Amino acid sequence: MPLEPTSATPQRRHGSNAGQPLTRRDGVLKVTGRATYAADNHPEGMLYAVTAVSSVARGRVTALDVAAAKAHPGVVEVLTPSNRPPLAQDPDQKMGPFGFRVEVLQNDRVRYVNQPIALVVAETLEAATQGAALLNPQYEVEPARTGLQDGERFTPKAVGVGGPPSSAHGDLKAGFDAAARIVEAEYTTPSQYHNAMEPHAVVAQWDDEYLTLDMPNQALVMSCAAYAAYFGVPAENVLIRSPFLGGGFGSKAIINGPQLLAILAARMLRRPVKLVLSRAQMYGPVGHRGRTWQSLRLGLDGEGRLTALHHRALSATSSFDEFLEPAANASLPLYASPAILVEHEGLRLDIGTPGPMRAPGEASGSAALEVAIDEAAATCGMDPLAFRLNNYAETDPADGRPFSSKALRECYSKGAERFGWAGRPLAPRLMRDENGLLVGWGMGTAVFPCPHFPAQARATLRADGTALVETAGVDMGQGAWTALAQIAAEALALDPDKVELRSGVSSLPDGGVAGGSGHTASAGLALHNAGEDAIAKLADLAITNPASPLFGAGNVGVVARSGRLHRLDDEARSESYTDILARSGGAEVVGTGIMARDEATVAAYAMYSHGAVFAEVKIDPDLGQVRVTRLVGAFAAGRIINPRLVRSQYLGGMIWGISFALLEEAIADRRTGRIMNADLAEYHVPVNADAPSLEAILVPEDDPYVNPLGVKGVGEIGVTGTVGAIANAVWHATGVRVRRFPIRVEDLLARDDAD
Amino acid sequence: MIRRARIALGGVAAKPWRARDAEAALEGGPVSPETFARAADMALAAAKPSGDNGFKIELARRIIVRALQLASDGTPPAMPALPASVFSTAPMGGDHAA
Repeated sequence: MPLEPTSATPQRRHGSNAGQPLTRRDGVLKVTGRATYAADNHPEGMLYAVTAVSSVARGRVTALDVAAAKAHPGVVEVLTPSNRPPLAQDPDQKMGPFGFRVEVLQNDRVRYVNQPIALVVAETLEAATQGAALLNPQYEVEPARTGLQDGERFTPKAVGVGGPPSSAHGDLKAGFDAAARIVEAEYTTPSQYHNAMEPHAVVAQWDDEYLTLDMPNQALVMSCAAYAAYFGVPAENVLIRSPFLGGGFGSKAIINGPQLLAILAARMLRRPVKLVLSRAQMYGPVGHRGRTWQSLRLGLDGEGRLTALHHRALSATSSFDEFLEPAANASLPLYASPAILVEHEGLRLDIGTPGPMRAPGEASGSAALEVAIDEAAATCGMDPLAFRLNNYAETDPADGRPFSSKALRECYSKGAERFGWAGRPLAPRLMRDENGLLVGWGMGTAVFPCPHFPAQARATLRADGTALVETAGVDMGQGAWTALAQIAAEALALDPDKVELRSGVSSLPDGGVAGGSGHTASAGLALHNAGEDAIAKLADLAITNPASPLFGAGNVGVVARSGRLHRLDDEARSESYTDILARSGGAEVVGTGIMARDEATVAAYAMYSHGAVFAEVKIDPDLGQVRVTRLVGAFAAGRIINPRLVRSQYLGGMIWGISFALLEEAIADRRTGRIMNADLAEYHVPVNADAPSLEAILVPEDDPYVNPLGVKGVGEIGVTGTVGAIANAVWHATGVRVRRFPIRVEDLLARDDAD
Repeated sequence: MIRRARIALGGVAAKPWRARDAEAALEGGPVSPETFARAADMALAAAKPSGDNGFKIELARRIIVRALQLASDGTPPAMPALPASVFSTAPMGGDHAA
């Protein structure tokens, strides 16, 4: 697998430490086992908590054998609805933009399988586990609503995180009336679970009214406020330490019931409590990507141009809360159409509430849209790339705003060239390899928005010429520690080796949310501004001091380079940071910064990362086994801070796309609502053999508008485009158009050899 | 000619089983696609689908034919990526190069 950069290593830039493919700062710690994750913490006197979870999807718990559990040696306490201590915040109320209704033993109702119905706390994990087993719950069972046939439909107020449930522009009816051809099809995507390698874990310690939490967390400061509200203490009393996350993918940005219960137990028992969910217990209370049923209708004129685009999505949620996969919104920013309508409907099922999971909506919506576009191209007898170029959006299709930058054409051309797209036969089932396997080529367009989150940072220039930069950011494995340090080092004009980054602790300046692929831009901008502020303060010390070679340079200004300040008009006149600080009594200089953008610019431009993904599949004609043999993605996401880490993000996203297209699906028993494959043996994710050849091309793009750093998001875009590209390659190989994800062997077996 | 044959199926029903009738039918017959197809039909003759797994009957039939083909071809020079696949990627170890 060619994981090494395909382009030459970038030149070391003078005056800039960003743009270099530095290796991860935390890499050695991780590969030598010295990185401590939340569950590695064992404070003195710690107890172990295990949740007892419901095995039915809907009904009431009528009995729990608490006496049997309590009689088990080592069991300290059993929390049930009858003795659960009160919370200061109603768990049935949603708090803030990422707030969800949480299941914390409010009552005896059961609303989904794996809902916590009790918490057993014991001196050992074994005793707690056995205690939970001894509870032997009895239920009054009601029929589980598990699918389209019995779910309750509703019109949502919002989709995703506060997004509009429908958007329209242009005259849809006129668009379809004018169409020479109409392509219409329905697509489904399954329940998917984040399945981070590291399970959700917490070690909770109370010291009087102060709470310390060791837990993997994607939104440190925001979570502190939420926990403070639930426990009725000031937010500054809550400390979250989250130095490392073994994956989050959206599921660790949200408060969940089991962790709240463990914190409650720690307060109740006045001892530290640890809770680690089992793999199976992660299928319910900690979110998932909800199922979608999507329909797309495309109007096309005689020249293969869209006249109308109508995308509808029915998105599953729980019976008691809403998070609707905003799948149809994927059709808003990509293809030029004079009329676009996107609409969502909700479906209530007896499941845990879905949540944001890597590219929520963008991934599932792109999967359907990119297949529909392929179908439209085929209907028009056009090459799928030519069709996409024919419908290229020069401005935001939804509102006509210009793009802040959009190097999608270059992505198409560079990706197609590298893949060898030219010469692809239009018709399916025409290519075979030397072993007789069917070969197919498909493509998809990738797109992802550029959300920014409020963030703050602090930069301290130290007397020894090094710097400390701080923000409560989150390294989920994406390399944030490294990229954020590079940004700060650039602003401070120091080598990254001289910059210490402190992050991952909530007592630091708010680093915002590691989500929406916006962490590097948001926390990075705060760090950049903090660094610039520190340099400005350092410059003030020099230019106001007659003993400095920079004295009086206030009017012409100074520039920072490699640990020295230089006069702008005479660079030979300079002074080192250490000399300036020494003359000032060795004091440190502290700068602060926040994520700040010109709001008028933000409003004036449509901002997206773009990409093009090309896939080759080989398929056994008799058995329907599919292998993705090649994936080439070309992505443009503004300025690249660290090409090594960015390439990893793209490759990871593309592998996730393989997973979505061919493997991932949580299957619920229609009779009981129980997930039948709630483990990593049966919930399939790709292994190395599933991803033989991957290549990500970093297409240069300069974005002067998105933010002062020119940085866009790279984390989630790789999933989009890839799913459709693989599905389209499967069609090209076999002639079978599969509109249900994941694509299964049985979808390809049924084919009659006659076209 | 086929002297001995053994066919076991797993992952297609509640428990693995031997297709003894199909084994017997193969023995003494010629090595040919027709023989394999007949044995596969025999092995699945009594199979009944339940719910969504109907495809497994046809899949099992095709896999039996493939397995018999692979067995009659002898040890391949390269290990297929999947047991029933004709993808040849990883060398078996040792020097099988002609």
